[in-house]
Amino acid sequence: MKSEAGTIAVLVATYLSIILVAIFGSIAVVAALVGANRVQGVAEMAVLFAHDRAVELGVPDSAELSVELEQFLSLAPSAQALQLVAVDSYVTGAVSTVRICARYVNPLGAGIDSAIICRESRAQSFLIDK
Amino acid sequence: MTDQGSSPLESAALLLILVLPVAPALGLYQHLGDLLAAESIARHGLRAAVLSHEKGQVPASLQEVLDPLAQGWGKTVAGFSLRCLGNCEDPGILSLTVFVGSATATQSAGLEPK
Repeated sequence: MKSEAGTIAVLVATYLSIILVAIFGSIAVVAALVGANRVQGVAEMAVLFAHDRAVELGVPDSAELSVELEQFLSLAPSAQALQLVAVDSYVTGAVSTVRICARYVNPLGAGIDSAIICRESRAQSFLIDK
Repeated sequence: MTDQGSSPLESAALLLILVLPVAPALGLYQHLGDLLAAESIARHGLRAAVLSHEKGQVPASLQEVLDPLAQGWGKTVAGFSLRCLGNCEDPGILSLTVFVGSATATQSAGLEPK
């Protein structure tokens, strides 16, 4: 006759691990979304700041754009809160583009801290007839 | 070996172990919800502050702008602070920090150059 002796500890441990993986996984995803949102916000404000100051007669100056971008990123509290790893800016015609990459630190401290979030933002000046 | 035991007791213990991690998870979800709301409220609030500043108005009634934004998220703004770097002169960066529950979000934007 087959023995019915055993333990449900393995089953409970499996259920528990599935629950924990689902919870921590979803939290990590939402936290990464918050991080991406933050980087996008800084990129948008940075390109507006730099473009506003680098533009002349509707055409931005690439070197000036870069200087103003550096100034914004070094002064703005929202940018200082990020761990920036790469910043790039360029001008295409009348459009200024800023690309910012920041390091994502997992708030759960699970050792997953090497992800890099990159976001891009563009700006262009328009003449509005009054 | 004996098969004796209490099934209700085992069920209760099993449920307790499985439900236990849900409580801290709900707390974390709440914090993340606060974070998302704070980021969004700070961004839109800052736009309102920048626009009113450029019109030459002091954004004193920012609370009136932030409250409807928070209501959209089903949250309450616990507080906020608006400050202007360099006395609002060049480079003129306006910074808004919003507190929602346990979360804090800061957004900064440049003012229109003179």
